[in-house]
Amino acid sequence: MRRTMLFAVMLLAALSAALPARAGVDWAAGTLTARAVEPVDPDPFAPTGDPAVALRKAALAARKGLWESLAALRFDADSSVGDLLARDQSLAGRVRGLLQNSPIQGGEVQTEAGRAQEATASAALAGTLLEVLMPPARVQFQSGVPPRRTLAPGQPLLAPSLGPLQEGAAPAPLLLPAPEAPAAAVSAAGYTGLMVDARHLSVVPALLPVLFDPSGTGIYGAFLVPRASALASRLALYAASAEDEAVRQRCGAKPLLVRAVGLAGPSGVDLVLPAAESGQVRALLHNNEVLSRCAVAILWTPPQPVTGPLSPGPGAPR
Amino acid sequence: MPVLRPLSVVLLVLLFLLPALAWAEPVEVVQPLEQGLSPMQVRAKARETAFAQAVFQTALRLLPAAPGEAQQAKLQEYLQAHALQYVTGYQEVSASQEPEALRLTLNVDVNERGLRSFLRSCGAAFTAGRPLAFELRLLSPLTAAESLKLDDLAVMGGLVRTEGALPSFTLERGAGFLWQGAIRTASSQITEQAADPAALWLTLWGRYFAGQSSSTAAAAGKVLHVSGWFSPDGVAEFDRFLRGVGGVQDVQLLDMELLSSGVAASWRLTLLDAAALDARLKEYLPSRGLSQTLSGD
Repeated sequence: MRRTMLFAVMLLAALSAALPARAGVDWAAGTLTARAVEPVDPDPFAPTGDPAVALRKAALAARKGLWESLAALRFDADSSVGDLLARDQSLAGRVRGLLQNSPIQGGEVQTEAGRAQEATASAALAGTLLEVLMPPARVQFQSGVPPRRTLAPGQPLLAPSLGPLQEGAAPAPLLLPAPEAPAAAVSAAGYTGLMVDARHLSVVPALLPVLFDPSGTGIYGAFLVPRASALASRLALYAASAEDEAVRQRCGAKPLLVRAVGLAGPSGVDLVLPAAESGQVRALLHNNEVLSRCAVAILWTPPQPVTGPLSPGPGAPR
Repeated sequence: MPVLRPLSVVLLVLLFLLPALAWAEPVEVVQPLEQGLSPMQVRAKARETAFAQAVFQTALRLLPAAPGEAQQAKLQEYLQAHALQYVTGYQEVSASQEPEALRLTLNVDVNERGLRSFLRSCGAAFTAGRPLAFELRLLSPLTAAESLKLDDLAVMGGLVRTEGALPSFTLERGAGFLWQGAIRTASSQITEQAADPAALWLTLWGRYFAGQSSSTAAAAGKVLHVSGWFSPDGVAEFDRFLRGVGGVQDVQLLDMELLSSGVAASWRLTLLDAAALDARLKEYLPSRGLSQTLSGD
């Protein structure tokens, strides 16, 4: 019993005393990273005088940072991952378990204040984590039925400063078949992927973004992609530059470049593509090979990293 | 097994209560609508497909290694026809009618013990990823249908016909309508008789692999001790990971300890492939700051 109390006290002390972790998402690589530094007390008899204890505190803080960073991510236009975790305790337990088994690196570092232990925890936004977050009961992949959204008419789409388009009550999606691509008229032959330039918009990256045409019919999203592909690669890659190696790997040598004309809702997650190119994008997305690779990249402007007590770590947005 | 400390007993009980450890895998099927079938019939067909898929997925998870393509296909074919034997319950998660199909998601509970027993008796539990060479000695002619059936059973069991190999399987027509068969190894011989060659095949190989099973289990009962977590949540997730590792079976969490240095836990398991377990643990544990020891039962 004494042992349990000792452990609980140490755990609480570690959580309360640890410095806030610097956490971030690399949307191009698809990784969450959190880094924490814990000073080692020069007095070896102090509770934090043992480097192993300091390392444990740093690791706990880093994994707590991972959790917070994951919870802050947008799941889709309607909710954040944190919303899902708050609603479903079983899911939250599963995700906690995964993060408690996340790869971690640590070691001694020298700071201005003296000796310290540093821990960096990371988690891939792929595989088991996505499998747990996106069970078939929550997300219907490859249904072939595009979502519909009522986009506010008469609002200029190009200027993000004027605010995004508003979401309206969506008609029941199940009865609306996907518009057939006019394959004879529009050709996407030779394109190896889709690159959507949204750097002029206030895009918020998400695990399940949807691309719409100006009439409010979905062009790309979970409804087109096999679940296995989305779990392995995420629906879309977000990068700041078209020159990013990850974009080239994802979209191939000859991507179709389309400039988004607006946001399809206040969340900033979903994008609207121009009417003129929607047909060509649809034709491209009839290619199963493109869909199985989720060969879609969204170019965005990441927010400036916040400066804090720790120098920017590998988790800084990219 | 060491005497459990009172704290460990409490934690053990708590762990058994964790719903996640009894989590059924959801299965999603898309059943095309067919003319002449009522909605109820389409639903029943979708459910059957989901059962078969769940049983097959569970079988693949229980096997110590991935079976070859042909063996996998034959196993799927067999389990599709016998899926209901292994389904103990199900829960409908969602059902949605699409323009040309019914999409059904079920949580299917599969009788893993029974399925594991079948995989052992047919040989797949021992031959997945490592086919077993055997010699077939036919002393009486078979009909084309009988011959085809035996070929299918051999592929499902991961048995590859090889001239001069041991074990050898001998089949001949005996007195009356009975067939006589024998499996001979370097050290023993099993004999049996049955009314048809396929039944004889299943009985004899079942007995052969039952012998393999008991000797393997007796030799490979191990206790894996892993330490280095900072939270009990990590133990539950590792339990899931361990159950998915090829080369181990009968994974059972023994106890969990909260120590001043962190959280540690022990599992009892049957080790079928030490190299496979070692490779997975080396890949998984060090990068997560965890360490392990593996000892005899």
